[in-house]
Amino acid sequence: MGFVSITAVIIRIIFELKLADIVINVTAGGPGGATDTVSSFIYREYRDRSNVGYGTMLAVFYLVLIIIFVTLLLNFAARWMRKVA
Amino acid sequence: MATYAPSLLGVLRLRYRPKRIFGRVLIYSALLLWTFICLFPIYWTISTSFKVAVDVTHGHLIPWLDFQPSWKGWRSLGLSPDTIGEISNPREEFLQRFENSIVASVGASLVACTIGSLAAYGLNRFKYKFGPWRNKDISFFFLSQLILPPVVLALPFLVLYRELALLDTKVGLILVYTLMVLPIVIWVMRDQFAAIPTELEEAAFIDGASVWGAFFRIVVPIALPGMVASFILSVILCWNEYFFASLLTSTDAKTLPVMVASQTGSQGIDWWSMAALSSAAIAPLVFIGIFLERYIVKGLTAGAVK
Repeated sequence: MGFVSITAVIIRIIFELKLADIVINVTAGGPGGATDTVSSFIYREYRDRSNVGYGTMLAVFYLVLIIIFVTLLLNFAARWMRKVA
Repeated sequence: MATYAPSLLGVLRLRYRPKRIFGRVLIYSALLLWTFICLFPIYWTISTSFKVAVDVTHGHLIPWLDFQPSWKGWRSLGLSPDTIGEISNPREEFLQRFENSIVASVGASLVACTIGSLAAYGLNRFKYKFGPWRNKDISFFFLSQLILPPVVLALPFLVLYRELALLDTKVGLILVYTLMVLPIVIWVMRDQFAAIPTELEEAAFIDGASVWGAFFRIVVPIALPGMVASFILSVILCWNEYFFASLLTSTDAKTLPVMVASQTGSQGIDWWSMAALSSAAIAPLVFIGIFLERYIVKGLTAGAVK
């Protein structure tokens, strides 16, 4: 039960890091960028404002951040599971 | 949880019965609340498609008590009973987008299930070595594609598709969607194949079957429920995909989510027609959910938790 929950939570975290389409359609970044996620900000940066270079740079940097974060998260979860099991 | 220990524990359990009933009521009310939270937006969408402007802005919710249902939204889409026989441009467009969505999602799911099953079977039954990487690392590599946010790939894909003349084509959509659902298919199918004992194939080998023969005649029929589950899962994911569709399609291969999102016109939003469009767009998934839910759950849980 605990393991399944942890897996589910991790999957949700990873999926929500990619959230863009709902934000773009519902608020379009909202009042002055208040509701932007990173993904929707990058998308609007190179789609609406045509800042292609800045947008792709952000995208790559975001990817690096996500890789670091997810690696830490997975390691932590694996260690925790080993300790409990 | 349900351990039926004799005597003392049983007596204790009988004594604490009211507490158990209370707990059960608590669980069921929580579940009911969650069901309501999940289903209310769908009810709202469907009921909005039968409202006129006043009812939408005043937030009337209960038909016949609060507001008088009308076919307004469905009429603007050409799908109401009195307009279904006539020629209607919105309906034509809707049907074309519908077809695009079906072709893209079913096509991508078929390709992904084929490739994904083969990959999952290989990862499960054979030992690979690629530099320092073993099977475990290779499957993690496949799974890690899930982590990749689509925005990172969006612009390269746009440039690539322009060069390959795949922009605004169904083939292009199928290829992107295949890439998108492949990790999930491999993930589900790997658990499926792991649940099948190797002895079955060994018996087939002894009877003279080749690796492919054993795979197609023995393994695939057993793993079919899981395959169907992963197929349905990927169809659902592709059907709901908006990001790549909005980026890579414009007129010919536009899918339903993009069409729904593009209803926001310059003179405000026609909530009723947008709601009718959304209801029509989720209808196939609702049918899939109701009729095939059994297969999805069975396929996903087999082998996953043992």
